[in-house]
Amino acid sequence: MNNPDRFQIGGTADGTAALPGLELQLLADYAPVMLRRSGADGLCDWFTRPWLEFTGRALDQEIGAGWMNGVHPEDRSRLAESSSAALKARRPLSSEYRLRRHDGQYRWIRDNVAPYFLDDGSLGGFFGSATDVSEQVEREAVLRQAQTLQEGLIDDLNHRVKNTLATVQSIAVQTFQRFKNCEMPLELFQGRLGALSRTQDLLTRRRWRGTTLQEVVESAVAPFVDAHRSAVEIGGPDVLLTPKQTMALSFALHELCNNAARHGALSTSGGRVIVHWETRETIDGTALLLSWREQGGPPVAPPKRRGFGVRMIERGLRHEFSATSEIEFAPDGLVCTIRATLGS
Amino acid sequence: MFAGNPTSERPRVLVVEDEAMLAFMLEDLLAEMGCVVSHVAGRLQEGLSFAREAEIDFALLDVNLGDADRSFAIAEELHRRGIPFAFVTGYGRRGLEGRFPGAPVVNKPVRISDLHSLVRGEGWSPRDPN
Repeated sequence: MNNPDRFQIGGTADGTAALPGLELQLLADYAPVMLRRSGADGLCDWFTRPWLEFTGRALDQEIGAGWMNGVHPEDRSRLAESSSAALKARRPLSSEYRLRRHDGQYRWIRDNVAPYFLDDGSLGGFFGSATDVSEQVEREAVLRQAQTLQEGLIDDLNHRVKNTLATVQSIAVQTFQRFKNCEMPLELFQGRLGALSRTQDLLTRRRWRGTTLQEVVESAVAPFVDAHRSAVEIGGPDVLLTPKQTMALSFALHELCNNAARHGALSTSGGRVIVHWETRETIDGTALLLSWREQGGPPVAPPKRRGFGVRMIERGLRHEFSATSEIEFAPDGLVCTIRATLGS
Repeated sequence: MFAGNPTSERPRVLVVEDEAMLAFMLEDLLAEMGCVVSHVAGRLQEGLSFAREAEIDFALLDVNLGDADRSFAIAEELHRRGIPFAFVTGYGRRGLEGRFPGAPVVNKPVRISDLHSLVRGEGWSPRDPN
């Protein structure tokens, strides 16, 4: 142990230093490690059975520098360089490289090479012991990949949390500043937070990949139709929405619901809302035409001023997916028409 | 009142922000502070065309505009025209990757007092924003 360049010699119980040659050879052939020996010139003159079984080559093919032919071409010059440096410095060497197995597959090998010295102190050569560590290498790669993925997820989550906080702040500012004279700003605020929360639930269920228009509409109207679900009729072909489109449309629909519940068709038991949409393929993408139509509510009067709700519908939709919307305060029921091009 | 604009009564502001809800809030807050948000852009191209042509006194720029777009090209264009700009971002100055060291940075969620300081002309670097 004093000289790290030298092997610590093991021994037998009766004090003799070594096993007889044949027993040593048997031991080496049955140990689950691929052994080889080189002379002081670095050329190999001895391989054990596990090595030959692994490479599937004959001893005379491996002898000398023959075994290097089995090393992956991309790893060969690196290995040759470090081996010749170790030989020159008479130092041990630990390396990893790909070695061709008998079935033609390259496997990752961890190879430990150490010099041994003769009684007169001169270099006798090197012993090399190699093991197939491919599975370990693969596990490490998978682990690294998982770590990268996890870091990405955490960044992503952080971004979403920050966005959500900023959105909540925006809702608060707009609800409380614009509606200073409103009779129930807190209730409006809660309703909008609820819409945000339900939309995030929906997006999370869909792993933030996207949603369908049908489920976005259902989620938006759900809190307003508890008692009489038949009050809202929903229908249209399958339409896929991105997360941002989902968010914008959910806010817009929430404002329509809120207005209907306070002044429109959902404020009376006989009122109805019909939400229908249709699509058409165009050269720019899928054209969507969605209509929100209220019936049977109290007579409609245009609002005195255009507040958060109208802005969320008209400009929010335009901002997020270039949709144009029209709100018509028709006397027999509000009509909102949204036109958008999806996937453009 | 905003220091960079002695001529116009109500400073005109360009807001570049990809989240509609946040853009609306900035509009409301800036209006309360005596500014007019004359231009709102949610996407890079739209923001760039405003930065090239719009008559504005200063700009507030979100950094990430979705689809891996950043607002840096908009900032460069504003700089070329000598129009002051500040960044509004959830990532602080770190999100600017060392660029535009002279430009003010407002953190998200926005503190109203931070915005107020900017509008009053505080925090703007006297030197070149680049």
